Amino acid sequence: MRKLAWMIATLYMGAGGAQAQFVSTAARLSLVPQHTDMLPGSRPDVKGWLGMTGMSGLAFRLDNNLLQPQGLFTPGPMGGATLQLSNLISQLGDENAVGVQHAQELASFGFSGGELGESLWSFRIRERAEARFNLPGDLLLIPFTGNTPGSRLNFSDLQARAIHFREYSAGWNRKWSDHFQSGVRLNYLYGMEVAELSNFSATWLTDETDFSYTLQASGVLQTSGLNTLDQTANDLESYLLYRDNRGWSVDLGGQWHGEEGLMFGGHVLDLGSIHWTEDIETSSIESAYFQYAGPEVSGDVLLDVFSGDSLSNWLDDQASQFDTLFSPVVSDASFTAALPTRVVIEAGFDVVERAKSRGRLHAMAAGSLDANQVNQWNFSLAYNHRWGRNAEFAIAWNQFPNGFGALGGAFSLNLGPLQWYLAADNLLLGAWTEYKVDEDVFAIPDRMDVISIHTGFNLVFGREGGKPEKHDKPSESSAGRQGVPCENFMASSR
Amino acid sequence: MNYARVFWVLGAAVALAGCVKNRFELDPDTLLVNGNVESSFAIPIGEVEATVADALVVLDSNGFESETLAGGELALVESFEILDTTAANFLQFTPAALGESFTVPADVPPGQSFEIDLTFDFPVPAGMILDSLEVAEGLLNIQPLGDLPADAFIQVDFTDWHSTTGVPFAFAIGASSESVQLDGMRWTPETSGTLNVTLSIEAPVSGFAAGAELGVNFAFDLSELEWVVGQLPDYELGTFEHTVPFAALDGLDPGVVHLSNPSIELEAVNGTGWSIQPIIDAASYTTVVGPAFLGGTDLTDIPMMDGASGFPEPVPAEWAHVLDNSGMSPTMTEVFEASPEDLTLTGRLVVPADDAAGFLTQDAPIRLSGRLVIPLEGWVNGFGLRDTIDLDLDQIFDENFEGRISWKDVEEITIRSIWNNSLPVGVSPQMTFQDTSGTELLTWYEDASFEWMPANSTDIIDWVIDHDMLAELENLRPAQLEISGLMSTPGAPDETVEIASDAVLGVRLGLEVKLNVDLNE
Repeated sequence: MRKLAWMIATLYMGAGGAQAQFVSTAARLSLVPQHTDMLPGSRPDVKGWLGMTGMSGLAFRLDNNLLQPQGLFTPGPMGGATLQLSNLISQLGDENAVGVQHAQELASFGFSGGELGESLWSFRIRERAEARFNLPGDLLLIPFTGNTPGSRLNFSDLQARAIHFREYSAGWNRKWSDHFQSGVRLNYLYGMEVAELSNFSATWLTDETDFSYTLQASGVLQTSGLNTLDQTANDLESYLLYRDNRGWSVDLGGQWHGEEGLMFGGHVLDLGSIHWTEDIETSSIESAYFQYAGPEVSGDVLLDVFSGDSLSNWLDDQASQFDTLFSPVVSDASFTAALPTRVVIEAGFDVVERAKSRGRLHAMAAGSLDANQVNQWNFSLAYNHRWGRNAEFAIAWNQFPNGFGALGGAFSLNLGPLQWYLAADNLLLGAWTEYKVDEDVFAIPDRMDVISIHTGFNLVFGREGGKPEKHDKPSESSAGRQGVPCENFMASSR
Repeated sequence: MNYARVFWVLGAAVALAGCVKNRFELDPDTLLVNGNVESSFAIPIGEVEATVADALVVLDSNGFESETLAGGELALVESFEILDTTAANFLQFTPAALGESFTVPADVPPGQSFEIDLTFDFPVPAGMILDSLEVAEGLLNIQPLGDLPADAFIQVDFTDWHSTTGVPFAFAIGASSESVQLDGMRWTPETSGTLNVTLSIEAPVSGFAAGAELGVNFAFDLSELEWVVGQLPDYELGTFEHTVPFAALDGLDPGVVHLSNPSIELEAVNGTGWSIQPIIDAASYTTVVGPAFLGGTDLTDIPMMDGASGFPEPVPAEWAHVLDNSGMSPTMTEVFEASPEDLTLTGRLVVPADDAAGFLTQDAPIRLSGRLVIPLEGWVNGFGLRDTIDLDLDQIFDENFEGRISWKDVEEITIRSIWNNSLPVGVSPQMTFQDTSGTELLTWYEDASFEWMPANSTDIIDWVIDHDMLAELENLRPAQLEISGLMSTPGAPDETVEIASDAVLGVRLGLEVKLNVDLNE
């Protein structure tokens, strides 16, 4: 039961695909160390930090393009509600995904180093749970469209992926010049559970002429840790620390800063994999075809096939053939599952540069390189403004792959060494609707495309760097890095 | 720019936008649905393909078989047996009781013998001129008569009899009755039906006085003969009477089915050495109006059966004769069109008068059989095959859709049939809805959508049953559905066709059901 609950929870929360991309608005908070979660090639404008244990980074994101409550119901003529069927059907597109991504930093700290403070070392322990579940539109629409002659219903978009793992990370950022800086973060991965459907393909072809069916299916479902999930409470220590599902990944990136406040960057996240060895179950179906055209009767059995149990026996035989064809081969061999690698590209332009504040326009695109996913990208355009090292806010317009756009917002406040930040990609959840089912009353937003939040507390160190004249005279700064003091160099605001 | 002000304005906008704007109570009893579910489901039903030969298997239970004739033409054949026996059953020697008394011609001293020759008329089958025979199983009982002392002996010698090895058939008996096996004995009488016996009687110790009365009785039982050779002029071997039932052909109404060339093939095997002339004394058939008689040269001019050859290991001769339209009056076609219940043949098997000597062995077969052969040649004009199944549409929907969909939700049903008809017969399916008593409520075959599948063609035919037709059915409350096929040959009744054994009629069926479901109902 617990296993089932975990599956349902993680599948519903669903993530790991192209859509779940952390909280992109938070990546604009350059004062916050956790903005490098998404931009590992960037570096926070602090000399060092110590995350509040367990509270330094809490990120949650729900992506939902399966069904939006908006427009599904209208007031009924005699009270109650009227379900708008056309609105329901129109929402069921090719991709109907639900995904959730959850990440929680357990520990985090970082400090600058190097002769001129050009390096920044960071360490982090982070728990991640991600899942994504996609129902093919053709499957959901069967009750509404059926299988018309000549139709080819494609269920290959069925996706299911859920993973729960922990990262032990060590990062190194370095500023190589006034123009270029890079970062790399090596993550040692500790896997706890995974369920992944891969290479899945399924189609249902209805012949245009004789209405016969051709069913095809193939795929591999790999799981680890699910069969023993209900036993984890008995040996929690082993579950949390001593599983043999290990792996490595790397996050890396770089930023180039131009002369006139221009910036370009590129980043790669989750480039790595976990080798799963514990409690493995792999179910594979080789590509198989099943033809069904109804009973074919000929010869001297012409009159016998429909007598007695003959037809029933024939149907049983067909069912048996179907089962045989699509019966999965189950093995317990260990496997390696790659993380869904993500790519982020960014561009920025400083539109405000003053002694105590800076404003920047920032554009970012984030997508997935996962071969099993449709490469879908999030785009966002943001403006963030920073007042020294005390406060920073950002507003962003986020454009999601399903066409949904939302206004995101983020801010960070440095109250002395204590830093609090909060970011969300969809501030305008818009109208909410209250539903009453039996005696239960609940309210949900009419649009639930994206619900995200990223927040945390850090203790940050390092005074505000950068002489005013440096910002005011970027040409002088770029004229010779040799003359810039170390602390000024590190505190340069980019 | 006052950024703080901008920030707060944005925050206020979020707060205002995020309020609860609607409240809905989702009660299944009051929830309405705006819009219908308009879906279409295509379902393959299956394929039935059969050659005519396959289809005719159904007639097996009625005694018919299908057979491909020499020309590749398919025929229905019903075989029947008229006579199957051995010739010995037709040619039997009745038990013969022969006896004669005689007087001792003179005194015969003790130890002396006297001889006496006796001649008997041995009963042979009437009209037979016996040349010889061999007994397979027989018994001779001898009973001395008169004052024969107990110590007297009689030597009996059947001068025309001997064993298969040539040993004369002679033996001695005392004063009491004796029985002698005749198995393996051969009799070759000098004159047909004349039995010659020589008795040699030895006087007892008391001797015979002249004038003493003596005698002897012979009882022959030739129960089984190994063979018989002789002549059988004008001998009637046996009679026959056989009725061929035509019940399986009931329904072949004149004007609907025309069979061009039905026939009765008679076949015989003659294991005797004599020629046999079959004679059909009467051929009649029974109709609803009473019996009717057949005539014609096929009944009067019947060829003779040759005799078997190769005595004593004979090879039976075979014989065949066909009763068909060319030599029958009325013709066989006319007989069938009279929807007869049966046809009866009555006759005899006769050895002709002028036949030469022949033979008969113990197991010589005489078989006379017939085949009613109905080549699928002719024409049909509206001939129907039909079956009826119970139909409860409400139950069908309740069981398959748990009552969620009624037939009111069905917008249209398309029955797709993909025909492969290599028969020279056009086929038209029919559907007739009936009430519980079988009374026709509605037929759809007259509708233009139920098209003919032409002879010798391949085609796709869609029968569309629309919502209005279904609604009409709903009002009629049908209880059963009669499915039938109406068949006609092109050019009937002027042109006939032949159906080859490999002619195929196949149909693949599919169903497309278009729904228009109002979820509020």
